[in-house]
Amino acid sequence: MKFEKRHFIQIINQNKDTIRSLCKVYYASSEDQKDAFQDIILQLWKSFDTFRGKSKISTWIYRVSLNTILTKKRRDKKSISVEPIDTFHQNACTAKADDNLELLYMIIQTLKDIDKAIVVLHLEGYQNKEIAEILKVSPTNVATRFNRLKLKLKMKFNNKSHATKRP
Amino acid sequence: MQLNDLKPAWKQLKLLNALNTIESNEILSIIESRENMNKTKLQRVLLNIVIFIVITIFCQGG
Repeated sequence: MKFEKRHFIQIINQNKDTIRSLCKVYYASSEDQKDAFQDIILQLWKSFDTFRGKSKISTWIYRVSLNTILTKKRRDKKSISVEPIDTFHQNACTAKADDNLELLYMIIQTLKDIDKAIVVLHLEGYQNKEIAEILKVSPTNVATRFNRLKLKLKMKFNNKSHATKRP
Repeated sequence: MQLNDLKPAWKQLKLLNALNTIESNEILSIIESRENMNKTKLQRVLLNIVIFIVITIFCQGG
């Protein structure tokens, strides 16, 4: 096996958690997740030659993976992805065991594709400027979307807590 | 509710997904299927060119 391929496999193995998590965030069924995973690996391999280590490997992985998923989603838009909520929760089987994980799934499920990416990158610790570079949008766009998201979440959870407080 | 509160959940999700092993062969087959596909595409294009040339040379009217 060529050194290049061996090196690539090593990188994928080190970052498989990121790629798999992204697939789970965007796709409910395991077949769709598998498809997306394969697409991402292909795109990573195609751009492996051009990756010159200017950014961190993890940033490159996020950039290629998210852009692959977003393009795939846009392409598949004609067969509108009506992901049944029940299936999503079934797939998040392990989430049942943990409230936070379930909450994460619940929140992500309500977001638009691009907003999901912003939330994930934020959770990964990226700043707005870096998120903008990864997603190839303007930093202002990211900041606006992020503020809207925070507001939306705040409102949603305030409403929820009010609703639960009522007798 | 702050988004930062979900950071541990994201870490946990990644940790859960790290448990699923991925075989080198699996990655190799994904990469190589693409390479083979490209080769087949090139072969098909070349074959079509050859057929086109043969047809234009031997099937001229008049």
